[in-house]
Amino acid sequence: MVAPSGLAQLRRGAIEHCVLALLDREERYGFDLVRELGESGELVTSEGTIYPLLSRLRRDGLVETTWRASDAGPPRRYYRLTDSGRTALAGFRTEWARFRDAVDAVLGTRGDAA
Amino acid sequence: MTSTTDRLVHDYLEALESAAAGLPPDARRDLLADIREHLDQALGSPPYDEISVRIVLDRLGEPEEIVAAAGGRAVAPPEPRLRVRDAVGLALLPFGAIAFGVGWLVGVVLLWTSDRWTTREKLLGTLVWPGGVLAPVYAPVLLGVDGQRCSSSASIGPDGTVVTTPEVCEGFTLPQVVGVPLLILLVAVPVAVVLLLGSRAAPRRG
Repeated sequence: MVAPSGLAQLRRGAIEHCVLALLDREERYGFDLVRELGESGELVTSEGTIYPLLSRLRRDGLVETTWRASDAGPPRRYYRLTDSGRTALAGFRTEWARFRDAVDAVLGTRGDAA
Repeated sequence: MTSTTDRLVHDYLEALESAAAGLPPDARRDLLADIREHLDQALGSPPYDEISVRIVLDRLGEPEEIVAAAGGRAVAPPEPRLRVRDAVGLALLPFGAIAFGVGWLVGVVLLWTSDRWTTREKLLGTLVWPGGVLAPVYAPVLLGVDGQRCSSSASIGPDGTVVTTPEVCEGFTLPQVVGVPLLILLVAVPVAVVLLLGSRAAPRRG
């Protein structure tokens, strides 16, 4: 199922920053991140699409990775937020709150009004 | 044995590899490595049962979708507005009188089972066509070819010249001034509707 392209782009941008937010608290390995994002079924319908996103964040210098040995199985690639990732996340948090409030006001979808 | 599950995973990775062919080499290598790692971790150690393998692959998503997220080709090649079956359906509507109207029926079925048109357009296509189908039957009558029986005879006279008796006609025919425009209308309307439906056709309209 392909969302309409406007919504798809909005989703992509939002999910990207959700990944940053998950890494804000602790460093994590790819599979763990993907599973948490996929958990709700709302944010991510195809877990595989998170990996290209992680690669892009790494190329853009918003996250960095290190390999760590694992108790079970082969070493895992861990993702960690960089300083510019942290800045991007903070910026998005502000922007998102403003954007969400503005959209809710127009749509009449504020939690208390609906 | 685990051959079915091995094949599922193998086929998936192969499909991903070929879908990723258009990506830059670095992105392609990273993507394949990431997905392999994901599969290793999601599946644990063998033997896997088929259901859990299918669930893991389903959750990963279609290879094309993943490649598209990596900036590769579009998720799916754009659908043609008119598929072969739609074009055949449209063609059968006006020319379906062949095979005693069976062609028209097939055309109507193809029209209604297609998602290229809205219900209103399908109705239009269906309602206009009986005229289109019968046009070849009307045509001779309207043009006065068939409605009249005319007869004349010719014979060779004694002096070798041809003697023709005056033509005698009986029966009724539409005056050509009515018949020709009516025939044109009967042909033009179906053609116009076919052209309209052809130009409106697009995926997922109805």
